[in-house]
Amino acid sequence: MARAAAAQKTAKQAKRRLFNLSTGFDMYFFVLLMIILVIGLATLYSASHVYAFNYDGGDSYFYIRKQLLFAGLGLIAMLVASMVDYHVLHKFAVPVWLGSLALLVVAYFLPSESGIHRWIRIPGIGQFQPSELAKFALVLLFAHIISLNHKKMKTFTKGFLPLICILGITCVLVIIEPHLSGTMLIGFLGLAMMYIGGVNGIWLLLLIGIGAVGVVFMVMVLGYEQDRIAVWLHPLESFANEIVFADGISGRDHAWQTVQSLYAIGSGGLMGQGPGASRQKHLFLPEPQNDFIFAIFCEEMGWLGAVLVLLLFALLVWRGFKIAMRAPDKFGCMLAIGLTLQIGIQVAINVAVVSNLLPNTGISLPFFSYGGTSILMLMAQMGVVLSISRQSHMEKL
Amino acid sequence: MKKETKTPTTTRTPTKQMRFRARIAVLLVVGVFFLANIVRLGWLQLVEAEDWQKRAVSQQLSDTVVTAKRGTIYDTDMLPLAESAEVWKIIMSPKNVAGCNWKRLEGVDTTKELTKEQGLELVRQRIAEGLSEMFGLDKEKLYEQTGKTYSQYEVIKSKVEYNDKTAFSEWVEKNGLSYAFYIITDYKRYYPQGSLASNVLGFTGSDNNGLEGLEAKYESVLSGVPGRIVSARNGIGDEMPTTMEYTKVVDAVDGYSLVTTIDSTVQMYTEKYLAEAVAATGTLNRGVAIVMEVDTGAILAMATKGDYDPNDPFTIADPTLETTLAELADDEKAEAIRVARQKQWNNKAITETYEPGSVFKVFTTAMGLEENLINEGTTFNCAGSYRVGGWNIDCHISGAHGLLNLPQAVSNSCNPYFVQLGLKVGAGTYYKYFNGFGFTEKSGIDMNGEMSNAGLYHSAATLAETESSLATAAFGQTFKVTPVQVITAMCAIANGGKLVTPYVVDRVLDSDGNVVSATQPKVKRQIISQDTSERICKILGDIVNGGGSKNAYVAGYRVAGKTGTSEKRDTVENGDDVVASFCGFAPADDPQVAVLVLLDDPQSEVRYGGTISAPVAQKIFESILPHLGVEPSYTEAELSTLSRITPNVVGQTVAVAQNKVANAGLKASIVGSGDTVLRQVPEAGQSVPAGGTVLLYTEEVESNMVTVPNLLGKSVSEVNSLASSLGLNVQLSGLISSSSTAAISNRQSIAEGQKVPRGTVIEVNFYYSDTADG
Repeated sequence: MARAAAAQKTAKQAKRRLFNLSTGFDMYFFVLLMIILVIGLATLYSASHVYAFNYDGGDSYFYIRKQLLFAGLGLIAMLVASMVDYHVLHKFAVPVWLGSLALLVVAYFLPSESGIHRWIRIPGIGQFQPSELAKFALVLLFAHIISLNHKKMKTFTKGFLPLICILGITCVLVIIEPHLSGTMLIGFLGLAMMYIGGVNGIWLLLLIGIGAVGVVFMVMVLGYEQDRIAVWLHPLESFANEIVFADGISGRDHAWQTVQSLYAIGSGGLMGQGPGASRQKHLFLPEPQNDFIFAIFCEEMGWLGAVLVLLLFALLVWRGFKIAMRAPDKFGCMLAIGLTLQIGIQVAINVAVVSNLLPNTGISLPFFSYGGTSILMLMAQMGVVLSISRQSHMEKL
Repeated sequence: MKKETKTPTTTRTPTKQMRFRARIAVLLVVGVFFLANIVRLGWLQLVEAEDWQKRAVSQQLSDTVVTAKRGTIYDTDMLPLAESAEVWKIIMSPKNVAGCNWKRLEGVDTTKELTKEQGLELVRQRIAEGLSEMFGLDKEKLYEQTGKTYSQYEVIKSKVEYNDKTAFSEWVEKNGLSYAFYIITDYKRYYPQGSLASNVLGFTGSDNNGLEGLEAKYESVLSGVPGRIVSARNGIGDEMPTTMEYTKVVDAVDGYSLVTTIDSTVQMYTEKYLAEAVAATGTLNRGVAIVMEVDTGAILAMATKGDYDPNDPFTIADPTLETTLAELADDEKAEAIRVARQKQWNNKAITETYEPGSVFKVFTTAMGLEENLINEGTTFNCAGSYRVGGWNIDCHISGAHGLLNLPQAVSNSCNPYFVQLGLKVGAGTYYKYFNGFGFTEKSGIDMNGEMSNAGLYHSAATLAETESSLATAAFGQTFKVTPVQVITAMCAIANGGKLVTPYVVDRVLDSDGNVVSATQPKVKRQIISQDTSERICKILGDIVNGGGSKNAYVAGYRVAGKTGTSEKRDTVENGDDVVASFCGFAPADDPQVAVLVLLDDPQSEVRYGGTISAPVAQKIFESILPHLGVEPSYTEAELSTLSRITPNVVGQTVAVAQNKVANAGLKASIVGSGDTVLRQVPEAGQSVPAGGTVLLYTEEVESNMVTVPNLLGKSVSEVNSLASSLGLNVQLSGLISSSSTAAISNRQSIAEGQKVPRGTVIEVNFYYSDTADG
């Protein structure tokens, strides 16, 4: 018994070593990630160089240089994270979440950029979006709670209520920034994790129902976001100034980004204009390196290129799902599936926005869109997934 | 033991439900959301791709129109009547205004710290101020224009002339605003001869499109084909560097030029004399004069008075009319101005009809002669009136002409004679010739807006049924024709019987001066024989040279023609309105040019065509025939009164000088007692009437000055005696013979009261007051 206990302890200790390199990580996931990253970086350069040349002091490499630097740092962060036993994150779950909330509050009280409090500027490094951290914090906290409290998930008070409160608080702080797409993403992610974690489906359906009614009520009755809806439903009419906007800004300005994105995508056709041959990036599509980068990719690489990228992301999600399924414990499973779904949902929403399937909300495309801290964090999170994969019961390459 | 370690592990592992639900979530994201996106992208990129590409390309390509230079309209001697000169169009790109640096504005304090918005505001203010100052535009509106950030093309000012363009460019340079503006070459239409031939030329609108006259008729020929510069532009309007394949330049093809048959000299004289007559007679409904080459139908001049200045076509050219219009109430004003403008633009020679009156007797004569129904000796009796179909048709004189032969009837313009001739010709034949002379069709002149007189003349059936219609139609009343129809028919009389198609454009040239197309004179048909033609020419020549049309007489040129004074039966307000006209040609024995003069509703006391229209034709013939190179041939009588050129006798001895002057057919009068001639009046090379006096001064004495008397309204003998009593030479014109008693002077070349040296030549023109016509 004592031996057994000792053995168990040894085994536990072996597993709980901070750096666990006893087994390799999942090569499929890693390679897919690297392919996506390379395509993403190449696309960023192609999309950004004209904009950078014109608006950043003639420096065509302004964005790609920074992005490469942070992608490099991110790669290191990923490898480091992949080597750390993810169980250590249990300890960080609550502090990270509270920290992210604190940062959201700080951002809210910082001077705004045309009414938006989305960023915290760190001199010398760039800007940091607390909502990016909040996303990860939520996944981590949910994985933490669900794995520890799994048996009570079905109950309302011990299962549903704490989670929905956490989700609610996070979402409220994000939405006041305001960051609609960030809220949407966190909301969907939270609901998905609650569902997978075992929360009663009835309550979730009820919640989704109430949410949907709420959204419809706000839009249809209270008239929220009418301009955005008008552009979404009638982009070309808005662009042609046939629709009058209440804020005095011309419909053309309102619809500019969406319509230019559609021009870009449509111009791509099946095969695309060819690498680097986008014309819409020549100062037609505003900030082509940011949220709408995929439109430039579609213009250059065509539908086939777009499908290929979506396929790569789908494979990545699938592989992340596999890692989660084979995870040794619920914490690893929830963490892996949360981080993976985060990528999947964000890609789906981004492409839907770029193609005007959803209203324009401002959501970046993982591994493609410009953003130093964003890519650093993304890579680190993927490192966590790789860390989980080391302990997953799956064949290693 | 193994079990013990394994048990907690198994409880920690993901549950079945977790796996299942994770699978559902992943499938939802990948299988549904991703798939939806792929379908959506496919829809955009495969189904709607072409539409999106088209839209994208339309914004990516800048398609700049290069204006083609409009062709010139020349007169027959290649004098430009309408030409286009380069001007500029200034375009602002409000989208680029934000790209202008406020620190480069002239005179701003660059040390100030301004936000982006404040700087832009400064730039916008400067642009609005500068442009409103330079071009007199509304500052507020300009300021608003600078804020149209979605626009790259705001026309600030069109038709900017060179100096203004230069000033603008300097201003742009000084303020560093070149990013926000560009300048496009454009053209402006000028009519260097002012109102000359304005009703023929027409004018162009603000975008250089022809609106009236030849400008409108030949729009497609003159306008040329605009060129294009298609180049790829980026979102802020600069050249797109990478996609050079898009740059495409299509050169503008400049418009073709027209060389017209209009002779500026002929046109100038025609307009001058017509305008004088319109003014002198107070003609209310404008006057028309046409000069046409009888063999070809080429229009040498076509004038309407009042007309307008095509450089400023929208201004009402008649100052009194303009004043009247200005006093109208606003609601009536716009319409009245529109009507007045349309009226001054209309080319009356082709757009309005009138009753030709007695001029038409020429054509009735032609019918009778051609059909051998009459000859020159055929007589009809004029009893002062003639009763046809229950109507009494009066002759224009109060008495009766009695028995007349054809030349006498034409000369006296006797209505009963022509009524009887018309009835003899008969409805069928009348209509055949009426049709043959082109009175039932448009002349086919290559001009805009020729009026059709369909429905304004008697049909063959009406003529046959109603005798009175035929009777009145025989002397040119009860039907209407256009002036150009009448002169075209008159040309057929003159040219041996051929009805030609009148034309104004002789040839079309490309921008290098190569002939693109040339008009071949077109003969529609032969209506009367050469013989009939010549016989009528003789009759018409005789009546000008001593008969009823003698106010058109020009010494040395046998003018032929017929006058007409037709009642305007359709003007209700004033029952006795008339159209006074003359239509003729010269020389009668070898016709070259025809002239039609028409005064519509003159208000003068005497309103006969023979009294007020024939003198206009006379002056036109007199001025243009030498210019056109028609050789004069004088009769014996004319030669005797023909002016002589004074010889140069200064420095000669008196005897030699006297001899020279006598040889020149002039008289010498010696002033002083010297041996040699020091001075002569008139000077050498002046024309003096035969038998006139040349004063030869042999001493340095003051010239004998005399005061020019009033020589107007006098008979020939009165003028002669008055002039000779003062020692003045008079040159008489407008007289068929110097013994004409019915002639009354109506013009003198030096005005009454002027002091002139003795011997000075004064030209005095006469007209015949004893002419009258039906």
